[in-house]
Amino acid sequence: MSSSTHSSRDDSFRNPSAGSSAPAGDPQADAPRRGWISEDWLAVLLGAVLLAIALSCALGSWRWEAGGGGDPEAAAAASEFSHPMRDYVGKPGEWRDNPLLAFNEYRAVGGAVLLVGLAAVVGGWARGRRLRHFIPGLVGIFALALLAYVLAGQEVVKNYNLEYALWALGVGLLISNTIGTPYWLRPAAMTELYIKTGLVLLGAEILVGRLVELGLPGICVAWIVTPVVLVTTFWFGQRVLKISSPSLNMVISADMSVCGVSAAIATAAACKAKKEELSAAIGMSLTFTVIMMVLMPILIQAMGLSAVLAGAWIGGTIDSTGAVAVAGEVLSEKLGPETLEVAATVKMIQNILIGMTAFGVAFYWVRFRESAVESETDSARPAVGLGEVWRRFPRFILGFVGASIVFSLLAASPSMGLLATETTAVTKGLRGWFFCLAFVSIGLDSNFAELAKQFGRGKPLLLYACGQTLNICLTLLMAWLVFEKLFPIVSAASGGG
Amino acid sequence: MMSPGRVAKPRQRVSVRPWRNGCWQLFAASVIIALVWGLVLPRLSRVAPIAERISRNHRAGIEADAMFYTELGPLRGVRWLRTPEGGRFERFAINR
Repeated sequence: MSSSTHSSRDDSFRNPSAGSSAPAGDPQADAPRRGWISEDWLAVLLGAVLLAIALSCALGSWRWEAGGGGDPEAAAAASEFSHPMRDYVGKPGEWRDNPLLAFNEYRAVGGAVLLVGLAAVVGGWARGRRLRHFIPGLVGIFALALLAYVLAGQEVVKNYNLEYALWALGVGLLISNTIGTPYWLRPAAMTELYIKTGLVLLGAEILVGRLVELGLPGICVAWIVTPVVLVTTFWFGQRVLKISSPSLNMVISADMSVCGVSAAIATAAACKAKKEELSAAIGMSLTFTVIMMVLMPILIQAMGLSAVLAGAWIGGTIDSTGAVAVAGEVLSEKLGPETLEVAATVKMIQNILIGMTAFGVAFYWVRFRESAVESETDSARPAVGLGEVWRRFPRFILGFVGASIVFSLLAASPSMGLLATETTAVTKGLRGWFFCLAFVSIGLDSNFAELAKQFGRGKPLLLYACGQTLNICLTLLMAWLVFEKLFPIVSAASGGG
Repeated sequence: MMSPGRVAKPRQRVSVRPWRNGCWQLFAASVIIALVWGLVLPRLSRVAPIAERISRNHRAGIEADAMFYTELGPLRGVRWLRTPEGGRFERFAINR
């Protein structure tokens, strides 16, 4: 994704070839006025304001419920604390036959739409959009995002982990490739702003303290194998498969080795990938996730693995967090409840890796890759100086990492840990809406021909398949090594902690 | 009549009303989506293995479409407990 201030690639997350019904030369659709703040800093600002609103609402309630200092009753009240905005921020729910049932929690949907819509209007205004054009477009994009959420909420679709990102892309692509994106929708299709704001909110959910939940064994499985697979897959794509786009290679490598869609979004933003590259990576990831979610429990039972080893293997290999839980639950019935809990915890540790991955990829890209693109060589040299790195560095990553640090410190505090987790329980709903709007915008700005080009000669699919095979083998080896050899369990009984 | 040196291009069949064609395509896709989500998927959700998977997820309170661990639902997480005297992991404990 390009940034208006420091990117050298203006084509990233922008595709002028996408179908559009905009009249030629329409000034509003083609050339919005320049904003008074860069997109990256605007995303940081919007994310910070939303986090501050959620935190201050919680703080107000928190004092009221827990007031009384060391009073045991107050402590008990605090332990049952629930964020006052919880009922007012959410997404459409699950349904089977009647899609209207998705709106049972209509207050939550309405509240989230209102808050995110307000933030988007402020963002559009700050970026120089004319509000009389921007607001109707935003309403249209929200309607499509709502449709995507409803499609994703159908019981079968949801339980097979076909996430809203896929349907949001789908409805956008459907419109842009049939009637063309109406010109009145285009001013509100601010993909990068939505993604970057969503990522700043996501940063608050990356609580570093959670790393130690599985101790050293968990860190070994999630933090040694994952970077090794990420780097090896990227190297393989560049040197062996010779994939022409390093950013596509990086997004697929991160998506496959870290944790699916969320990692793909963060990495695509960090390495300024094209929109079609993100779409292609997500499409592949969700397809392989469904296959692995069904097949891995069967394979594990055939291999006769222990509950803990099975959980670690699933958690370290299946891309999507939800799919890990589903596969873990299938095995929990056969092997014991440890499978699900270990799988989910390993995945959570991998989730936390997103922050470092995004930061590392952004640094690598501005220091080595962008200079290579500018000098039109495939080599990753020469590196630019640190001053230049700072000038080019995507600033929203600072917001992303900053939110993670602030909320990790809050969560580590004995008295305010619950406050942090309750706040992120609200902001995760807002983050989901921002991502959904972003994927609708990507779909509206893409066409099937451009998307099909990303799969040219099947190299990306081959990259994914090879990388995932390495991931599966290495994770199994490492999980066996740490959970059965280096740190064996003396008595593998589950119990209250 | 063609000027010398110029090659005649084959006549391409170009629709005179692409927008109208697009409307038909969008209409057809919408009908397909309505049929799949309105009829096919609800019936699929009653097929035994699928229904079993769905009810298992419901029983465990799992959000199968979670993108991040914070969306997973009421999982408790685990801890490894060490032996008091040594560095070995003694047992595996599910949090309360």
